[in-house]
Amino acid sequence: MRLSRTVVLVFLLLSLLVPAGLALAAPQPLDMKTDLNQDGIPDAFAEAVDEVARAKDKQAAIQALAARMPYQRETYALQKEAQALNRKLASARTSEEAERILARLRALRTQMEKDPVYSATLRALEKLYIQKGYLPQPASRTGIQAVNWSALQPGDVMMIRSGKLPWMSFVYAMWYTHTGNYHGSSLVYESNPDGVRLKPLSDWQQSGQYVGLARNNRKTASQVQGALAWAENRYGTDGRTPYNYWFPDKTTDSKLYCSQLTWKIHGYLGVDLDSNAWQYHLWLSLMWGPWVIPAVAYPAVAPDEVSYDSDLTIYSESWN
Amino acid sequence: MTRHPRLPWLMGMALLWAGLSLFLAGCSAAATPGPAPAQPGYLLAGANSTEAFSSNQLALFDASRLNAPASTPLTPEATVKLPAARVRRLQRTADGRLWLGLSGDFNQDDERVLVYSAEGQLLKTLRPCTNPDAGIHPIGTRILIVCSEDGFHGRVVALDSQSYAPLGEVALSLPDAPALLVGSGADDTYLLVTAMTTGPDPQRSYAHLFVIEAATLELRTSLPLGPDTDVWTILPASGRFYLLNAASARASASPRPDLLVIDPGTWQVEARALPLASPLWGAIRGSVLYAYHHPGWNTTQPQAWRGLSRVDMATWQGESWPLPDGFNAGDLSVWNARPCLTFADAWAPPSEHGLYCLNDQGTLTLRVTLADASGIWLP
Repeated sequence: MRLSRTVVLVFLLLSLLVPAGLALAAPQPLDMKTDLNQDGIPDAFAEAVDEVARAKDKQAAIQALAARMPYQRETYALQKEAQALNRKLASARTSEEAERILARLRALRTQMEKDPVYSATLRALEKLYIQKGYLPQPASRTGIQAVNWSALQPGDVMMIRSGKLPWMSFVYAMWYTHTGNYHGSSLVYESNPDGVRLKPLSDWQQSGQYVGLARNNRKTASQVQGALAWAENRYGTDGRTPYNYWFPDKTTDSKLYCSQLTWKIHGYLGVDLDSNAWQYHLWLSLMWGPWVIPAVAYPAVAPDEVSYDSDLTIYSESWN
Repeated sequence: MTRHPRLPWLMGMALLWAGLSLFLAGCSAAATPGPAPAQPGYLLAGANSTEAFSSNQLALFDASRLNAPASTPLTPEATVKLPAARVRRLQRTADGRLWLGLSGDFNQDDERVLVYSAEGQLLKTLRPCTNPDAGIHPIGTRILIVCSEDGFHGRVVALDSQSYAPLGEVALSLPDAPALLVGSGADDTYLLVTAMTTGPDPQRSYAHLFVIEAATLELRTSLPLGPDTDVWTILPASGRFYLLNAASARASASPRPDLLVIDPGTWQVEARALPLASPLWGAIRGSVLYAYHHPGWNTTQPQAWRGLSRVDMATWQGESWPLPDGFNAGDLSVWNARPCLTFADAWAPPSEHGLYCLNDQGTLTLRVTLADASGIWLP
């Protein structure tokens, strides 16, 4: 009898103390309401992002910031579901199955938008990135033929943002949705879910698309062109290299996604175009949850990561 | 006051019914459009990659309404929503069916050819090959579909136009160079297909021509068209083929090779200059060639000017009209001896998108509005 009374007492004590302890240990939710300078970016959020920028251990800082986001409980649940779905991509046996998983991921992303804090956070981060020059200015035509097409050389890296919601094109996109490699004679060498292919330059020149043109600043033009020829020989021109839906597996040679092909071409020359830029990692972890950094952002190479790489000089970035 | 306990329920049901009726009316309007007019015209919106092709549609309008003087632009009588993919080709067979070739987007290829009735009802979805975006040609009882596939090589597939059964195919490739099929044209005997390829100078464009026997799909001949050639439109007329060379503004040859004329007797290529360089889209009515000129098309050396021209092919005399800089037309057709162009631009308000026709004063007038208009078929 006495024993059971003691057990009950201990249980009661624990049930009072443990949540209190957890509450003390849990990170303070970020104040996403106060915006004294009324720039559309909550003050605490702006400061927290600055802290990430200053932090030596950026990944830890990103994790800490993501843990403080006062998203709705449903949003966190959706991010967990996204994590599980992402794992399933690794074992997708057919492209149809992979496409179904990606469609579900897009649907989750749309659902998360219903959380006003979630959507406001991504809007605020976009504004902040534009302010700091990490992202381009909002869409506006800066002049006819503002993209410097005439500088394009074979082997140059081409990046494009198409569609107003980039994650609808590529679920892990922040800004750029696709990369290509200029082949010369108005042909662009790319990889998409149907394999490596050539497309006409005119597809890249349509109005309303944002295009970035970049050149490897570590190697000569002829070296890069040699690597392009190597890639075309290695990955074939007969559709033998399928699309790689498991984005984290960037090292495989048996299947390719668009930015992986670009990364491979330059990797052949010993140049690693995967910048692992913290700006992209922060964006991604606020969008999908911190799980995405070790699971996707580090092992994969996204078009956005290529665009931030210091081995590339972006010589033209503009709206068509 | 008498309280009526069923009133809120009845009102709710009435509202639900009204809403449902409206919804169903909307659905049925899209699913079963009315009969096509005697002179139907079709406008296509199928190229807005900025909106991920979400605005794709096929619009039906009464082309005879273009005869009336232009006051306010017409709106189409009916529209049909199309799948979200680039739709580069629109063809109409003599029986009124419409054939659309799809080619995906940056993140996906496509294999679909959609066949619609004249009224806009989807009759059939075919999957003949990858990216059927380089031309669709009715020849007798057959349909020849030109597919760019992966751009390194392409394919022509023949189908029975009634049963849609495959009748044969021919692969098109070059020994040590890519062949991205982009243009084609056919008469009863031959199908001509042009490809973008490479040459010694990567700064220049190179086109290659494949000639195929329409009946047997045998490759009759294949010839390089040389540097500064890029052919997206091939027009058959009077037993000859006329290739519009969009890259001619960059050519230094004389005469400037705006038009490459091919005689099936000899397969010799004769270059001709037009009033303007770089014709991209065109049409031949009688002995008159109408062309839209775009020297910035598909090149790293863009120029902003655009133009329209009309040439009498009997005398090779012609005239031209300047268009606003950057006026990027998606297609050209002709109505009552007047060239009409589709226009859409991501930076222009959708109310300015649609079909523009040249008027008596030589200026373009918006005649039919359609957001993201990119293709046209006129009787």
